[in-house]
Amino acid sequence: MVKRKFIDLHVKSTLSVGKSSPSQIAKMASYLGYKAVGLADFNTSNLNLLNDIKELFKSYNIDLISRVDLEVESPRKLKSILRRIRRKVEVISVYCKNLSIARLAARDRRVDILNFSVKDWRRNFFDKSEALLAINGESALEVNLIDLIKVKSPGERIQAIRILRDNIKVAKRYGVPIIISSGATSIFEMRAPRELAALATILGLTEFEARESLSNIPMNLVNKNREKLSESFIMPGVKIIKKGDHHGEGEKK
Amino acid sequence: MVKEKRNRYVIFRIMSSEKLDLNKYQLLKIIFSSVLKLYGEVGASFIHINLIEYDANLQKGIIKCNHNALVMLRAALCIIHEINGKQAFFHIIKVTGTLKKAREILNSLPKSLTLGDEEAVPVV
Repeated sequence: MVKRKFIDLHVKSTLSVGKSSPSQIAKMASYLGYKAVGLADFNTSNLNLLNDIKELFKSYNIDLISRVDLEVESPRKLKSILRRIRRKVEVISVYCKNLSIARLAARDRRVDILNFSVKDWRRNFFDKSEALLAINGESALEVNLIDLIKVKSPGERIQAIRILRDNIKVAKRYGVPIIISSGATSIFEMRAPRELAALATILGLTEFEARESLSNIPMNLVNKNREKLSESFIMPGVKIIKKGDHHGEGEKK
Repeated sequence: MVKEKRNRYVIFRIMSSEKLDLNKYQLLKIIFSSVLKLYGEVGASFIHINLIEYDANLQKGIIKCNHNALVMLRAALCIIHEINGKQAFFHIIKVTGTLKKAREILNSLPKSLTLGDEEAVPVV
């Protein structure tokens, strides 16, 4: 039996708003049993650090996944940022602040992950239309469990559970992939994969589904994007397998 | 004959930003309050929690629970993010079916409070 490779696709370090350094996160992720971590610290100004941080994570046997979180107000700005960064990072997530952003992000194939507010149900735009667009746009719904762990009042947790449960119900009905992440900003907000899977069961997922959402579903997304970012990729199903010097020697599959 | 009621023994470790000044009964109270928050009194009765052992110096111990309610216990421990005003969380190291095996694993854990390189991760 192949051992499951767990991924925490949403962690923030001191490179952005997080409180723990990348080395602390790498060490904790390794201790908790993760094989890959998605660091959501990157933007257009610090992408040059990516290779050094990848090496650092590699020393702890952790596969680093570069991720950008976008939080913009206008669809035009979102399109412009996507054009600039899509070929530079492995995962792009969009926080859907308003309906037009939500619909555009779900429709656009350059967006991998959709995030919604759990604090205000009026700003939660994940409904049937959004789910159908997300399937065509090949985007996934992300559930950050920090929204359930770190709350100021019991009412806040109740609200978050209700919204997340509704979102998961819609996603399951229409077949939108669900990704479970910690959403941690420090090492004390990180949790072991089995603990996160157990917490996700209160949102209407079975234990198996929760573990899939922490391992195979995010891994498939990352692998698909890595293939797209590779130099040999031309389009889905077509890639260069050998380059020749002269015309006729090159082969395309 | 298959036992009607089976238990699971959860070996845990508390990771915290500073060393916690906490005894067994205070810890049990924290675990109970977390279970009550998430599942209420009816849920807590299913889990059937008992803190068997707790080493306050090394912040590790064993919790007994009903084998059907292991997921509930894991979820309840997962939402604990602060103990006595200090950042802390529970890490479940292993789950066993017998207390003897649980004690063996607990005793075999490293006698250190840090994750090896103290500079890299300042956790207890």
